[in-house]
Amino acid sequence: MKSAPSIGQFEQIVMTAVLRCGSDAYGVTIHEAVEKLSAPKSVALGAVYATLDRLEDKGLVSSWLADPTPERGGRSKRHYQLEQGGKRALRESVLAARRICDAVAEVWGAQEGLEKWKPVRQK
Amino acid sequence: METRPPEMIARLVRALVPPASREHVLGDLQERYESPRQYLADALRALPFILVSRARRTTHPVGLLLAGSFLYWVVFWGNQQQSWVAALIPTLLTLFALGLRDVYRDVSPNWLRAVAVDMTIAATAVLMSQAFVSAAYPGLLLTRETLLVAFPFGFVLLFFARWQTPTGFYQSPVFSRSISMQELRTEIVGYEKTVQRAIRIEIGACVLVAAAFFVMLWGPAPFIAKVGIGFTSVAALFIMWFLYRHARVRPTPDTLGFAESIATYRAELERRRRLSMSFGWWYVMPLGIGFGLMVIGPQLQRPGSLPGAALSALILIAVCAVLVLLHREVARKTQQRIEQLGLVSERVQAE
Repeated sequence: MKSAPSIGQFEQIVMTAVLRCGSDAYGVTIHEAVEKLSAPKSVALGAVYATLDRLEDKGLVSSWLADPTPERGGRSKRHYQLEQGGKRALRESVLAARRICDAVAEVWGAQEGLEKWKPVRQK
Repeated sequence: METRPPEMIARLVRALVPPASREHVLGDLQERYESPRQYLADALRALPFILVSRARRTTHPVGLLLAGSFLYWVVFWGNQQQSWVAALIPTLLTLFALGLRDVYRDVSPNWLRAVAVDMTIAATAVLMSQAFVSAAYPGLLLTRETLLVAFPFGFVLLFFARWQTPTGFYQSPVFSRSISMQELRTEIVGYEKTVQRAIRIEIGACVLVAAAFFVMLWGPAPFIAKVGIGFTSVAALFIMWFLYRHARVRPTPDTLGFAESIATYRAELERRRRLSMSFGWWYVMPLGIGFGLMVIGPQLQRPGSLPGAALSALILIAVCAVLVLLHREVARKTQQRIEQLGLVSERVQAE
C-alpha cells in the first residue's frame, strides 16, 4: 500500500479540526476548532488558510464553494473535507504521537504526571 | 448594531485580497465582523499568509531562477555594470512586480492586455528605482547602453515569453464532486486558447530564428560556427514543422456531453503530456546541438581555450537540463490533472 505523506504538527491540528467540524468545515469553524486544539496559543486565521491550501495541494483535503448566504454579505463558504490520503496521514500521525506519548511516559511518567496511554474501549 | 463593515474599509480589503481567494475570505471576515477596527485588523493579519500561500501556488522555483538569470544577464547586463548590485536591484524589483501580478491574476483575464499591464508595471518600477538610485547612490545606476538597448529589448522578449506561457495560473486540485459542466467547459476553452496561442507564437519565433540564422550563414565566421548556424536554422524549421504537425490542439466540441467532454479532454491532455515528456528530443536536442557547434566549436579551434570551451559546454548542458526538467514538471502536473479528471469520469459512470 502507498504510504501516507508526512504531515507537520500544525497540519495535524488543522486536519483534526476539519475532521471535527464534519459537514460544517469552512474557514471560520475550522479556525475556531484550531484555536481550541492549540490553546493557549492563539492562531491567525491566515495561517489556517495557508495550511488548508497546502493540504489541498498535497491531495489530503478537498474543497468546494457552497452557495452564497446573506449573513456573509452574499459570499460563499469554502467547505473542506478530508480525502482518503488525508485520513490515512492523520491516522499514521496519531499512532506516532501515541507511541511518543508512551515512550515519554515510561521515562517521565512518575515525575511529570504523565501516564501511559490507555485507550478507551467502546462498549 | 452594525453587522457589516463600512463601505470604504470593505472596498479596501476587497482590493487587497487576491481574486482567487476573495469569495470565501471576504465571507469569513464578514461573518466574524464585530467592529470596523476588528475587521480591518483581522484582514491585515490574514493577508500576508494569503499572499504567500498564493505566491507559492503561482510561482515555480525553477521558473523563478530562470527568469532571474535572464533578467540579470540579458536584460540588465549584470557583467557590464560597475557593481553587481546595480543589476540585482532592477532584477529583484522586476521579479517582485511580476510575482505580485501573478498573485493578483484574475481567473480568466484578457492575456494580451494582462501581460502588457504586467510589463508596464515592471518597467515603471525599474525606471522609478533608477530615478531613486541616480539621486541617492549614483554608483549603482545601470549603464546608458543597458537602459537604452538591453532593457527595452529584453522586456519585449519577456513580454512574448509571458504571453506565450502565461504565468500565475493555478488549477486547484479537483476531486470527485467539485466540477460542473460549466467549469469543465471554461477549463477546456482556457486550455485550448492558451495552447493555440503558445504554438502560434512559437512557430512565429521559429520562422524568425530560421531566417535570421540563414542570413548569418553568409557573414564572416569560422567553418565550424557556420555548421552550427546552419544546423540551428534547420533545427528551427524542424521544430516549426513538428509543432504544426503534432502539437496543434484538437478541440473538444462543445456539443459533447459531460462524460464525452471529459474523455476527449483527457485524451488531449495525455497527448500534451507525451509532448512535454519528449520535449528534450524534439526541441532541446536539435537546438542544443546547433548552439553547441556555434559557441563551443570556434573555442575548441583556438589553442589553450579548452577550459573556456568546457565551461561553455557545461553552461549549455545545464540550461538544456533545466528546460527538460521544467517540461517534466509540466508533464507531472498534466498527469495529475488527467488522474483527477479520471475520478470525475468514474463517478459519472457510476451514477
